[in-house]
Amino acid sequence: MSVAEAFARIQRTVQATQRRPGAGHIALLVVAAAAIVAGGWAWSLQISVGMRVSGLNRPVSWAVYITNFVFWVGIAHSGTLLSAVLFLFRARHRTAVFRVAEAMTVFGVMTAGLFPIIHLGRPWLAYWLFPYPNQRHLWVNFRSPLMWDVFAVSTYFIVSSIFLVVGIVPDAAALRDASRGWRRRLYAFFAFGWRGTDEEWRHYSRAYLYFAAFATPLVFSVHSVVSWDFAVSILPGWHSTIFPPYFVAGAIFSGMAMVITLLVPLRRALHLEDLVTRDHLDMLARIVLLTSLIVTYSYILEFVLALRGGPSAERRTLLYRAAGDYAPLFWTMIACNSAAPLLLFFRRVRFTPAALLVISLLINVGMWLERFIIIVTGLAHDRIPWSWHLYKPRLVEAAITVGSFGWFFFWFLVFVRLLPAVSIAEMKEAVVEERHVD
Amino acid sequence: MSTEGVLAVFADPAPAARAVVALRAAGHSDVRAAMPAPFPELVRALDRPRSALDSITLSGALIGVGCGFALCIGTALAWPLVTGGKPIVSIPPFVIIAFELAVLIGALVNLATLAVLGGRGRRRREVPGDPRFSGDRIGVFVAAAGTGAEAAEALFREHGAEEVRRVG
Amino acid sequence: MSDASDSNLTRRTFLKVLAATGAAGCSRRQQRKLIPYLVPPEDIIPGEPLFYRTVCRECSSACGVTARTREGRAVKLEGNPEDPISGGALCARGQAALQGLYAPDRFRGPLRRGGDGQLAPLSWEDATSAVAAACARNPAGVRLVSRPEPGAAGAVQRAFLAGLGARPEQRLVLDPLDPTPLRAAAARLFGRPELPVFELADARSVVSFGADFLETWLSPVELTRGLAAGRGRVGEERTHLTWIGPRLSATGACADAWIPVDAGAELWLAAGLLAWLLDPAQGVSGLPPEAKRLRELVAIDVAEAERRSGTPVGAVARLGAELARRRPSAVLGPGVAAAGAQATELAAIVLLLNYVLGNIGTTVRYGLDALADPPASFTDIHALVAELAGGHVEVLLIHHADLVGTLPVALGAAAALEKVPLIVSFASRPDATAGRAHLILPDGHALESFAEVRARRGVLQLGQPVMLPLHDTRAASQVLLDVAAQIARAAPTDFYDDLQARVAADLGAGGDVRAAQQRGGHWAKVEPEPVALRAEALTAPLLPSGPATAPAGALALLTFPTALRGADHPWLREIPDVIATVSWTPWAELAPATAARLDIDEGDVVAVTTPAGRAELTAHLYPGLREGTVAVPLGGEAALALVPAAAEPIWVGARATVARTGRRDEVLPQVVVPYRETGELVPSVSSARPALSPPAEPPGMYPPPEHPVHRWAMSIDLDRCVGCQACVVACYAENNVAVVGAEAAARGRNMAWLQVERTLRETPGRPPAMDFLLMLCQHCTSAPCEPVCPVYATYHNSEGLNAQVYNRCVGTRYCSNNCPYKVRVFNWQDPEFPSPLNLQLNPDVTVRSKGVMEKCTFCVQRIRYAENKARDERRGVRDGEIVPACAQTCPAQAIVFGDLHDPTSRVSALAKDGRAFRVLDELNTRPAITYLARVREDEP
Repeated sequence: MSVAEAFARIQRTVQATQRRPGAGHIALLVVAAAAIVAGGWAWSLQISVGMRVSGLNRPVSWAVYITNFVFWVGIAHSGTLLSAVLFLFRARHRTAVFRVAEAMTVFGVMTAGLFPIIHLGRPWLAYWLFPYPNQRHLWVNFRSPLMWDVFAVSTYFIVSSIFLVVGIVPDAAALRDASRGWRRRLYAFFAFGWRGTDEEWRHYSRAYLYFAAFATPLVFSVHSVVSWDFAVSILPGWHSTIFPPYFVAGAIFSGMAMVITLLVPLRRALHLEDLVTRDHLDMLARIVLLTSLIVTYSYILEFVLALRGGPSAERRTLLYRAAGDYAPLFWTMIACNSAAPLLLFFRRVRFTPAALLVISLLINVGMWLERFIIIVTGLAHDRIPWSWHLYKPRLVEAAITVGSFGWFFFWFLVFVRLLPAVSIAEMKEAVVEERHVD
Repeated sequence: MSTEGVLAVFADPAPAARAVVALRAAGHSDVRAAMPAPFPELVRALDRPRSALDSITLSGALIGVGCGFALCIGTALAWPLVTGGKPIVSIPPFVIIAFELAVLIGALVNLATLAVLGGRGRRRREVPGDPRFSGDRIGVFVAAAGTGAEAAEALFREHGAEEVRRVG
Repeated sequence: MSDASDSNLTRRTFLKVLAATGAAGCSRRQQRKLIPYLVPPEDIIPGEPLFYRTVCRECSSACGVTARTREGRAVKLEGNPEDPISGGALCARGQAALQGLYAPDRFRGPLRRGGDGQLAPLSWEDATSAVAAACARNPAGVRLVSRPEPGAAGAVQRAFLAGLGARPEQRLVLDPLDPTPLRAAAARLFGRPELPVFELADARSVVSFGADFLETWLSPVELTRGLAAGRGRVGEERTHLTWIGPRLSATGACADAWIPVDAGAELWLAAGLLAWLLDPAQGVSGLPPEAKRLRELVAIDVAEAERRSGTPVGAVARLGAELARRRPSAVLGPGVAAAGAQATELAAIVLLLNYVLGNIGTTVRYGLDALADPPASFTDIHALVAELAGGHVEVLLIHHADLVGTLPVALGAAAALEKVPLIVSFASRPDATAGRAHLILPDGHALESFAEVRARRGVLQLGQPVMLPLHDTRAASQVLLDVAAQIARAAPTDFYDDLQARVAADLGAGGDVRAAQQRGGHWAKVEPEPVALRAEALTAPLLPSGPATAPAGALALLTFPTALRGADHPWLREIPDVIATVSWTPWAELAPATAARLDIDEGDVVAVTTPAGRAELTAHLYPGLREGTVAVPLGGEAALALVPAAAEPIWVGARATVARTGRRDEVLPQVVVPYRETGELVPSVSSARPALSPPAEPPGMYPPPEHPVHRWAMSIDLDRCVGCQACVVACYAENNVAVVGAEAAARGRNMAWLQVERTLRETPGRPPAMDFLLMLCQHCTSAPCEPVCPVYATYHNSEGLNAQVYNRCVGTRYCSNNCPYKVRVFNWQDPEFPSPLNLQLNPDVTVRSKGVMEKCTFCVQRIRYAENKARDERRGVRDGEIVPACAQTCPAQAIVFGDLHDPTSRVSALAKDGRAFRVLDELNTRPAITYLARVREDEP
């Protein structure tokens, strides 16, 4: 098959994803929208009557909302990892999957970004968290980890969005020239007048390299910053120096799992099987396996560190975590994050999309639980026994959580129908490279 | 720059690259190409200077670092409240802000530069538009006239161009 | 705190009262526009507090009170520093009287119950004439039930009956929890039916037979102050307190030794102790001449006594030896928690113990009880109920006495009231009896009325209105006078004149009535009278014959009063019981072993059944309770339903069965803080180890912040603190702390800035011991809460306060997470102060809105007030000039506030004390609060 044919086939396959959505797709969109409405209703209720509609209390004044925040920021990590880090490492298998991951990143951060606002006691004053000149000369406290969050997350959102949009430019141009009507106008917009001349490519390739260079440290910084929300405090079970690497690994772990969760159905639905091959899934599964081992190691390390030496608040908290009121959740988490991924050692499993889907779903659950357990057990059981109090989530928190999933999937479902979910240009480049390899 | 010249359409980057090399060997200084992806061999053949965007982007990042520290220290001094017995200007946390702003401003400058340089380049070294060039074909254009153009056409043909035509 | 009122104040206040009573409730009109006073009242300066002295009527101790008023409304109650009973302090219930004044459910005016059973308003004139007509018809059919009114009100009542030509017996004084056994015993032994006055300050050893004298018994504020006077030091001079009872109450928790006994078996232990002391073999010195005779009367073998009371062997000898050694001592009792069937016998032996130890006249003083209005015995109450049930009563006048709601249900008061054609209640708020009244003639609240109370001989407490009446109420005494006048067709005499005349008479010639009323009373030093043992008291045996054996299988019921329950005020119901940490609802306590035997779990709803009745309560497991006992707090129907109504009320010892209902209360387990060992948090010292290692200045990465002028700090003496929670109520009142209600409290959303935390030490082989720890914002120098706030809503100010900026707070709640003391409270909803409770709000403190974090400010408004005052007078702030609400009201004076920068201040001296420690010091938070460790002689 000639190169041109290969190119044409790639482009046809991708373009085929850009048709009017089918009934199933519409149904999913409706479900997602409904979830958003439910979440919105719950939030408006919480704003009008106050946080009492939540299950929060003293001492557990952070729980599901912050869990969701960390969870979605984590989800947002794989995208940049695939597109930036693996780009710098010139990992060939990334080409087919990174666009999906990037989109997931952007929508993940969009979702995560909601929660710091939702969890505020006075969300209508959320803008006070930004340093803006005002006549009262009030400024923000840059010593606060929450302020680091503000900067880290918004930076991450902006940079990864730019990364996504810039990456789409050549593909948009390709689709523009191959389609007509409103879609042509849409692609024309995203193509920014791209013509594919050597001059454009000259600057483009360089700039893309820089975006990758910028995004790479972000991957590690953002979740480190998020982990500092906890590590910088003096709460037993939070105050731990291993948190940054532990959280970053966890983030990549959950992010990759989410990529698999999305890709497996997607390649079926959009008929991308011959672009997104099982080798690609295999590559993702290997990363998941690796990060799973790192996360497991961190779990063990956390306990070892706490149990060494005499009785301490840390020891009490961690024993509570493993044997206290929330122990069932803890062991579910271990099963999902440490046990289940071990199956990925088997090649058969890695090459069975269905199995991968199941495992990745388990990991998503497990990682959500991990954040929940870290946050809640730490708070519910700190140094002073008389302040110990249990936490149970309530309807409003559940609704808002469901809403966040709706929000995320809504954008994702819209995206895959409007913009190329696989990078056409890079695939074409890959074709040529492969031919050189053979 | 004149846009008078010869445009050839290739189905494969390899012969296109060879054509480009040949053209430049034949003394054609102004050879341009349009392609759906930055095929290394072709880029190598064109042998364009490295983009000037590096230094600008880099300075953008450095400005970011400066802004980060300036913002933190400035506001801390403007509103000196003691928290947790820590000094008003406590550098370690400010490093984080400086880093984030470096990345942010660096990336924005990078984007702006790309838009400017890319756009200008597109205008300066225009390649006659053809929808296929973003799809499955590669266009090579050489600015030439008269005999030079004929020579170029011949060169293109022998390197297996699918079609060759005069433009301008 | 100075008295702002001027010399002719009471006249004006009186005129105000008259005006208000005349023009029905003009004070209720809400001013909608801000209009400056056209003709300002003489002493009301907007923004300036105005203080009135009056008297507290929440219990029969009658403490003197200083009411702080702002713009003509009372906002805070504090003790009257001149008054010998309160000594400037005020208990939780006394302070909560404000919420009685502003109670939303108060009767707005006279009401009559129509045929449909609904209450309808009527005019005072109609009301009075209705009462007059009924009383005139048959004076013999009139009965008057009143709370103890030792003073003008009581005199008016007696005069009223006399005027009717009724017998004095037609008036009954009701005080169900009055220690009548103690009166009876005193009458029997010394021929004086009096209550003694205990001078605990002089006692080096105090023994209490179930008398919760730090919570409710006799005069808690006074007794707490007395005990605390001997606390806060290590060694022999320290007052040693022994608690005897089946349950470790808050008072027991403050004791140095707890001798657990079977419920209602205190008598045998007391007898054993008396026998031991009288036993010549022990060679106790200074025995009275009657010792020999007494020995014959309490012929009980010590071992036998220990067996029957169920106390550990050797307990009697240990206690006896101590009493013999540490003199003078004081033996208190019996409290309600020891008032079983043989309460009077126990009381007698308690008095004899004091007699034998030579305490009578020194620490136990007779001749001070004015006997102005002693409560009726239960025999009389039974008689009254019988009369009511028999339909012999035509008019029943009820003056602040709740027959239905405070007496055992088995007494049948409720049913008996059905037989009465006309029940007239002077209650100012609905209660169980007023709910059955036909006429309701609301009396003014104590803070709206004049009063004259003879607390005891030489102590005359004077009350005056501190503000205009809120509603169309009228002094009950005035109503009685009007009724009497109508019957006699005479011109009505005026209660005010009557009262002034009485006070003038009390003061004698040259006494200045107005001055006395401004000071809140008139106090004279009265010497106790010596008492002698009556010969005839030494004839009958002191102990009941025959063994009292309980039917097997059943549990013993123990009902106990608690400092907070009883009065239906939001503060008192919201603040958790200091032992059980339960708020809003009664509960049933069981020892864990008993509960295990009955297969009952924390939070199970259990049915408690006694011969008297049945009640469903939520079970709470308490290791500080004797095996085989079920304890139920008084207050609410539950306990009263269970108490048998024998000749004497059997508050203790009734046989009860407890069974699971199968239902569970999900709320209670959430509220109850488990009893856990936290010795490392709350250290203690002993004469063996009198000092802790001093809190070292921890190394820090940064130099500690500067405090140019002041460094405000606090010291809390845990050896003095008795966990009475007066400080907590004071904090609620002073700082507009919101009450959140039962459901929110169960969810852990109690808003208290200051809480009394308790922890239990369980040492094998020893009865458990309780520690209290006052927990409030520690105002750390390196506060973990501060740097985590993204918007600087909390920071460390130049005077060392950990400031909280409410209107800057966005509610991330990170500060609360990072506070190791968990003393920051979040507004989960907008606070609610149902009108007219909002009138109590302190104008100097903002009311916080939803979504905002708040916490203790060290009463910054008081700090600023004092600082500004000092600046105006061009001087520095004096040590002790700034007194936060909690410190001000502490009866034990356990809390000291001051400037750590001033080396001469008390607080800096205490910070260097040997007992000083700081909670969680290892975290290097550098708290501003220094705790002084409790002294535990049993410590190894």
